[in-house]
Amino acid sequence: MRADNDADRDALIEATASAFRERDASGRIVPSPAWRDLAPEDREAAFDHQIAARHVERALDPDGLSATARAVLLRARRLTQLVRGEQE
Amino acid sequence: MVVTSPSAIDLAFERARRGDPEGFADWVRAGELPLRRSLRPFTRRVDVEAIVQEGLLRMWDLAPRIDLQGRDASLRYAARLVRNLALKEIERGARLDPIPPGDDDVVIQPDRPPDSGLRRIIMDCFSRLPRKPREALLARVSDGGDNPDRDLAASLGMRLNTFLQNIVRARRHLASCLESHGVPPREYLS
Repeated sequence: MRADNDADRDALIEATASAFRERDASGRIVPSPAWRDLAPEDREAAFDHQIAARHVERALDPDGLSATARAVLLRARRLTQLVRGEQE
Repeated sequence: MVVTSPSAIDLAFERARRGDPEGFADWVRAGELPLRRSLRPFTRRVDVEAIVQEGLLRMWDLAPRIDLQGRDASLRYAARLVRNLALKEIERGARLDPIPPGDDDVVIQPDRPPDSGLRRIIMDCFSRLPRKPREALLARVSDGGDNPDRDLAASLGMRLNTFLQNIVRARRHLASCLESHGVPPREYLS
């Protein structure tokens, strides 16, 4: 998706605010496709937008966690269970 | 000899080192935003969200194996870690822009405890959002980064672009509501 107008640009920036990230075959977290489509100056806007989004998420989450924190903690728990499963 | 008492983030990291997920959650709560801000010089060249997540996960993985000394040492260690991840990512992209100057003596502070007043205002403003923007933003917030937007949009019977436009609208309403409560955008961008 490329930004042809302000609405597309805003939607692209919003897409980068999601904490969901794909992984490659090695398990590495890969950049958002929306981020790749942004112009350099819009990437700066996306950075500030992500910070604002995390503040809102923390305010709305009962545990005060951002979506980034929740995504990481979920992944960490899954990895730990995987390691324990392999050890048993 | 100066002996410093451990900070809250040091204590959280010690619990994470012993494999306590709640200790790690406390550590992430205090460390995520400072680490994210520390990556500002790389904003144009790396997806900071991906780097932050990778760095936080590596801290969980490394925690039992690293012994750090000094106040906020785990946060400083993590700041170096995410910086190196960002540099590696730039290398991977083989871009020709100069790399930002080195910063071996990392100055980084744990996040301050959440402002309960600001939190209350954000919750109040959220409750006043129009229905569709609120549903879209709530779906994103509740999901916690576990699913892509296209799946969240489908669960609400929206097209992806409509879903994103609804979140954009939600954020505009929120920003306007926060400002009407005397909260300028820089308060929640800092």
